Amino acid sequence: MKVTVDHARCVGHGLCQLRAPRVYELDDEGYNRMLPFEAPDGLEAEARLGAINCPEVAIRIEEQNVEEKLR
Amino acid sequence: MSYEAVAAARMETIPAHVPAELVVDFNYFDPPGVRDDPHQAWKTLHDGPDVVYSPYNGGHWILTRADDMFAVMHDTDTFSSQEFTVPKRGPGPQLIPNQIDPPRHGALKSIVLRPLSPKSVRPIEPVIRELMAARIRRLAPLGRCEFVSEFTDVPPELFFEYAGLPKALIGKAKGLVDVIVHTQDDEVRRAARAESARMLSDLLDMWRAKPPSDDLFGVIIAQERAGVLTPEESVYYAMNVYHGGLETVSSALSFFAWFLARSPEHRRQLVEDPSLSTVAAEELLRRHGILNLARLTTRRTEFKDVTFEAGDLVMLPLHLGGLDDRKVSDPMTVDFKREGAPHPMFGTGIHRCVGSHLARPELRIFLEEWMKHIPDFGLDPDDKPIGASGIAMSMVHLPLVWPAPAGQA
Repeated sequence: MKVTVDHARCVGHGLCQLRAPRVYELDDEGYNRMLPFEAPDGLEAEARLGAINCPEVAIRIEEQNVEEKLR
Repeated sequence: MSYEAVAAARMETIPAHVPAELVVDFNYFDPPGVRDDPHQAWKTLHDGPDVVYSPYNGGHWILTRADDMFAVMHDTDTFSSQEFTVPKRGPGPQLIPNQIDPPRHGALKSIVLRPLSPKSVRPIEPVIRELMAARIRRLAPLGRCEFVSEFTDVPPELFFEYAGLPKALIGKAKGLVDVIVHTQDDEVRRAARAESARMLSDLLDMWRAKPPSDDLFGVIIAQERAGVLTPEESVYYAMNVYHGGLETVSSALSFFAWFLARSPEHRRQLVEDPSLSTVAAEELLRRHGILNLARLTTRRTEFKDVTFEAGDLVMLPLHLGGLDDRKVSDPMTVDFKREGAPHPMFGTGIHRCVGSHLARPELRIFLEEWMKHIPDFGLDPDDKPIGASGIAMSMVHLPLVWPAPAGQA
């Protein structure tokens, strides 16, 4: 599962990290500046939860296969 | 004058570009039913059009839907923050960074991002917990409290602690902010703002006399020393962050307590699983938003078949955005199990509340500590709660009762 953060949209709500602290990191000013990454194994649901709670819709999740979608 | 005459006089002040069918008899400081339930009083607007016009308080549009508020907060060219509350503040010093538009806004806001980031706030969570718990432990044996006067001064105390401000001033500071957000008398509001500015100017002098520091006022003074802010701008920067810290969390907590006092089921869930508190705080905040913000239209624009003219004030009742059934199913129901319910309570876009990372732990820790010490509580059957609307929504009177331990009541 590929996770992409749109840095231009992030305004530092921090909700991705609040909901999914094992997946998302914030910088010293509170922004998510992560480069595109693969969600860690077993944390796909958490990654998704962080993404759907972003008020700016700044996090895009790409499911790569059917098996992942069902997980 | 009769009610009809008053209404007629107001109608005369309605600008020609406002369609009559969009005018609502809705004074946002005092909507019908607000004392019984502020959010329910506002929720009635969802029965009407998405965009309405209130002739009160100088006249202003009201957007009732979350997506429209989102769009306006993101279109900073068309909708300026130069005016961000109703009624218009008019000329005079601007709050920084709230009233500043791009391109100047970004650099100014970044001044306080570090001291208020999640990383900076995390180490003070034990302080938040200790201050909250101390007050709750003091109240618990009494078996009752009037929550607004006996608890909601804790968040301002926390803010004063965090910012290193002298606690002797909390009472005065909170009194002034209460006036600023709730009074309908603009002259009174102006006087309270001026008094607040004098107080902050004196406080900043303490930092001007000290060696540089990286606390909240320290970073503001550092920018003043660097020539980025004038001394007057420092005052209005400090006022901006400190007003945010004084009123909003207290208001949210008053609604949290009011709701939980009436819902044994939600209390039970929090007692059985305190780890729910993070999502519970988000959901309670979504259901009980606080702020009525606004934007100033900078140029004629078509918005959902309505024309806004330059100079029109557009109100964004953020709390109503959290109750939008187009965004959240069954929005009036509090459900701690919702998977995702993003809400605009801290604003969206570049003016997103910079204090939210301090506010969120306060809300969560309140739930954890209150439910630990006072798990079972309700409303005083003989003393009705009272709600209010304004720039901030809040409960203004909230008598609570609970079973006190034997021999201590």
